[in-house]
Amino acid sequence: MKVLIQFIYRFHVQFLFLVLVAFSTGLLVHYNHYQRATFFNVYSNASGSLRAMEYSVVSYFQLKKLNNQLITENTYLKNNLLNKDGKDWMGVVLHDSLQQNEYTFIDARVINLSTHKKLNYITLNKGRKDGLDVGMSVSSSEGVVGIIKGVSANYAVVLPAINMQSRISTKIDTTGYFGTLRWNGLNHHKSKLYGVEQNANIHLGQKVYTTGYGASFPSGVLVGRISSIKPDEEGLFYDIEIALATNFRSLYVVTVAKYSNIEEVKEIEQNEFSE
Amino acid sequence: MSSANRSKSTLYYFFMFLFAILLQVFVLDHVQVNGMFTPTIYIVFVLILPIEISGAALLLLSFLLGLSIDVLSYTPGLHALATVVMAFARISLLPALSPKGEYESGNTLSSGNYGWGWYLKYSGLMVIIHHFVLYFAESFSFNHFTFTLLQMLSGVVATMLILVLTQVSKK
Repeated sequence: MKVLIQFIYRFHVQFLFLVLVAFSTGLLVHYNHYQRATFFNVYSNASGSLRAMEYSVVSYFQLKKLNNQLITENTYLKNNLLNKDGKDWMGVVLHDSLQQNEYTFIDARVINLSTHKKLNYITLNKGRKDGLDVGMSVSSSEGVVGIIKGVSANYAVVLPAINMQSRISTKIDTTGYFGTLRWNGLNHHKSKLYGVEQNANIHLGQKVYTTGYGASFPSGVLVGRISSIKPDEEGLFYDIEIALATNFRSLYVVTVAKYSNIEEVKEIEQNEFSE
Repeated sequence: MSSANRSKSTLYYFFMFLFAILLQVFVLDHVQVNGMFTPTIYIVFVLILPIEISGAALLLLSFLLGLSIDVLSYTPGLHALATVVMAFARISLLPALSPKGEYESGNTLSSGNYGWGWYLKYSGLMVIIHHFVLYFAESFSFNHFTFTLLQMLSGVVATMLILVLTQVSKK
């Protein structure tokens, strides 16, 4: 026993080193392989309040860009409003189930983001108090941004399309081809589309939209345009590069989409799968 | 100059710890050129810890430092791992790099005390070890090896530049 204690004492620095390395590697692997939200729920509060302080200073320098973004979005919304007020051309109100609002939208401001890491995250200035929750989709006036991964009372952390863990279900324009958007960690203007077969009739410049599957993104949110098409090594699928519609470097205002019947969808899916 | 030679109080190191974290998270994390050249300056805290500090204290402080950065940048375990590995390397690196006059207890580990050649070797090796672990643990694989290596090397250049500035500004 005495020998053991002496042995441990002699090498206590080495042991401590191994313990600390094992602990940090454990954290790293755990949060890389299982997309669990706990870390983000707990820490988005601590980190969020610090980021809010930073934002209150930095935001003044962004006002001009912010204004332009809002004007563009305003025009876009006004144009859309004309067709979507639920009245026909004579002003008669139509009772159509299609007019029901599937999604409600909540605006939020970006108070922190990174674009140069492999695992980028975005912090928003709204949280559970404002109705935000894990799994809701986030988009900008330009296009897709990402999905909320963690929320605290006042802040939310978004897993953006430019995070290597992000997977977004997409469709190519009107062709009916589907693919999964997955970032390769290199350039925040570009992403990759996987799962489109080589016999697909697609061409450069075609727009790519969200499918709306999974009830986080509404259907038809712009993702980007096809900027390169190459056959992949196995000869089955295309290696497609997408120029992302959203410029993540100048992202100030975003819209969070909340699927109105999310509880109902989850419940019915759970019942189906458990039987 | 005389104040730079004397050993610093615990309070000094406490404030350096906080300062290093805040500087990193609020200023330097936003520096980048196309995803390259991001300086990682918080490790300066591990570089300046006194020569006579115990191995266990060195490792624990480094772990705490890395973990604080992790919490603020949503990278659980990443910076903690890189910083602990670097701190462990310091234990055997310092004796190996021992300058002509040997280390004097109470002297800060600066270029002013041991010369530029010594300082660049010491900080350079430490930064390379840290950045290697950081960038490759971040990409979690050796895919895009050259890109990650390039990103790492550009990071080393940026970090060294700032480290040298901290030394020059002391004079």
